[in-house]
Amino acid sequence: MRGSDSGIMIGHNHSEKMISMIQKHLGRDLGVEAKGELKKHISECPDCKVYVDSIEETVKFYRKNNAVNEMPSGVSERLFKVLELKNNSTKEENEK
Amino acid sequence: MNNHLDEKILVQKALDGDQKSMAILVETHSDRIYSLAIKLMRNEEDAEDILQETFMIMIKKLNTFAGKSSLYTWLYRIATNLALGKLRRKKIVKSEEDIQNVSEASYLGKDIQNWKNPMEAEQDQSVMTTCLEHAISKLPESYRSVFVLRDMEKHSTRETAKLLAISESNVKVRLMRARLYMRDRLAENMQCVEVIQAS
Ligand SMILES: [Zn+2]
Repeated sequence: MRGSDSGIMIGHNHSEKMISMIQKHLGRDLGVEAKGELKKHISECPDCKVYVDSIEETVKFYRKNNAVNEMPSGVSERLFKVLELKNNSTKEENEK
Repeated sequence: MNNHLDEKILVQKALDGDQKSMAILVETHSDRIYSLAIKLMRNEEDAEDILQETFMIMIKKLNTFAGKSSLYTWLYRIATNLALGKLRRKKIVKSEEDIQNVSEASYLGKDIQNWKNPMEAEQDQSVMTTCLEHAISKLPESYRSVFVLRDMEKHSTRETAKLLAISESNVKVRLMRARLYMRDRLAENMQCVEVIQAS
């Protein structure tokens, strides 16, 4: 069943098989290259190319910006207190 | 520092009752564990609970740590399990959900031609991080854990499925939805940043 087609912005007809291939491809790890039929289709279909590229760029973006945040003030102190440990370094540890 | 050998020595000393070594172990790993917890929980209070519980378990169970993996990996598993347990109790992680209608319904639903590559926006890091965190916070809860484990923490599909106790196909579907969602939210955020800066 094709469901409601209203939101779909593809210029030509996509078989369900193709759509499912693309979804499967995107559910994989980043950097896995499309193969065969799928690769051929993406290279010929601007809509699908934007679709696939946009997802990949998004994943790259958030991986790149995935910083380890420092804990807000007080969290570390409370942690040590709960654990009944003394915090050796008073926030001066730079080597990680 | 922080190589395997140093860590082994610290662990051994901590097991022998050296409080200072124990404190170093806590200090070394607490930022990363907190960071993971905040990503999964999206809530400082819950993240702090996870942090504290993780290290309480570490202290209690350090003798069961076999040293086959790094201590961080071990702590990571403890923290992830605690976080997921908590989410489940809050009924945020639903066990399975229907995966039938993902293929077409979510396909190209948005105006992708106007999509902007967030990589091309030249922003400083803090703006980018804020954008990202904003987008993650809008991610529906049941996708977030998959998204965080799979895309940010880079676990395999199988590992993620195991951690969440859901099927691998469910992981794939949720990941796909989460990625779409993130793409659209990030694009919106980028536009929003541009507007702010232009005014
Ligand atoms: Zn196409």
